[in-house]
Amino acid sequence: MKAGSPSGRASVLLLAAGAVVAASPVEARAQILASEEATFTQTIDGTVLTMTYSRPSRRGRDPLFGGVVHWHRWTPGANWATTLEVSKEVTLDGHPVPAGKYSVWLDVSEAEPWQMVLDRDARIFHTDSPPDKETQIRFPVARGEGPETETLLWNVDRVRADGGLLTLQWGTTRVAMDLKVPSSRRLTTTPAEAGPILGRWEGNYGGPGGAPGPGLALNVTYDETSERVMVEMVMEGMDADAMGDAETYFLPVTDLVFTLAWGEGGEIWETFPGFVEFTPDETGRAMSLVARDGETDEIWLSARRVEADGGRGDT
Amino acid sequence: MSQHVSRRAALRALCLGVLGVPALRPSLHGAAVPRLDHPEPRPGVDAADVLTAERLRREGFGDDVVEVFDMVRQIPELADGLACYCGCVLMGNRSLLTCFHEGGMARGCNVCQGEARLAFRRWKEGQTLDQIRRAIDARFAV
Repeated sequence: MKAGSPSGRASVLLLAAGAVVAASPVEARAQILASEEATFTQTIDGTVLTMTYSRPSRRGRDPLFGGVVHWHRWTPGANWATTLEVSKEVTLDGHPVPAGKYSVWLDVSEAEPWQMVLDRDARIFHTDSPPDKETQIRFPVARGEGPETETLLWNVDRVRADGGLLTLQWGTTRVAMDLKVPSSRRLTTTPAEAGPILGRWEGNYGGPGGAPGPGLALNVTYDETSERVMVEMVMEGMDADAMGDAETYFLPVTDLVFTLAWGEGGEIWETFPGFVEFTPDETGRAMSLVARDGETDEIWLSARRVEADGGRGDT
Repeated sequence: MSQHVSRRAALRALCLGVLGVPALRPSLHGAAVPRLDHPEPRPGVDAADVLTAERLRREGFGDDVVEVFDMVRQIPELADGLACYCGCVLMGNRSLLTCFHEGGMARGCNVCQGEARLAFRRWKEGQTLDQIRRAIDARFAV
């Protein structure tokens, strides 16, 4: 049975749709809906993505696409069109999506690729799919396969420092779009920025004026491939294997000021909201460093250069 | 997964220090202001125009505000060499020092006050103007 074909079930759905249109949102929550409403919010590096949608279930219907969903411009959800709201400009599969709220549509067809459509009018009922407009954002998406999903699901999978995969799943159909968010900080460092701080450093936890804590050693190097400043940290009394394969990095903030990050294989997992500040000598080479709390400005680590890195990357 | 937890714990121990060391908290800054050029301090500039404690108390400001004005009174030349990231530069404000003059925004501005507290703290540590400028850029610029 096709959703667009007249039938008893379709008539019931149309009546139900009318009831949903007529009812206020508060009243709608007081009833059982075939496609219950859901909202999910994902924050990545300060960019907030929110999707609100009604979630139809398969309920044994087959096929979903080309059957329950006939080939047309469809909102991947039910009732009121699925909405996507982003707090900053992001890209989806490389297509810019400025900050704002959009209704979400998918041109589904027997042929591929399908087409994603984001419309500036966020409040549209699913039966009123918008025609093409200049203001819409449209781009092709591939129809893929995924694990059987009974109830339609939007999600952000494989979250990383600069984005993730925005996915739609229903039945065994999966549409995945690469989501990229603006970075709140630079993730790479130039050789000129890195040069003055490379080398071996030794110091202690705790800063000037306080009793020194455990000792530690830092080996700061530059990886030209990833354009990252790599930091090997060894703390007195700490198991050398405790870090496993985790890597630490210095990310540039401003001249001779960095922030600490960690991850693996060049992928950033987390940045710490504090600062590592280097003090140069008259030649510009950093000779001492302190790490400070991002809020209190307290020094929690200080170190002095004990050895340059042999000139690699020096300016 | 447990290995990741172990590494995370290890890294936190490294990054946050060990017993008795305060945890890192969110940064002071939040303003989306691009990096500014800092003004050159005017030689001999003094704190004569920084609003007095009496004046501030008369206007109903509390100890925390009076305290930060007292700090700026001690570092007029340094404050005159710092740009203010609160956006007042668009209104013709010259430097952090002038934020604390009549007509300046410092009485009710967290950015002016935050910069002044940071500058004063670093000045007491013996840092140079360049070091203090970098510290301010790192926290208050984009």
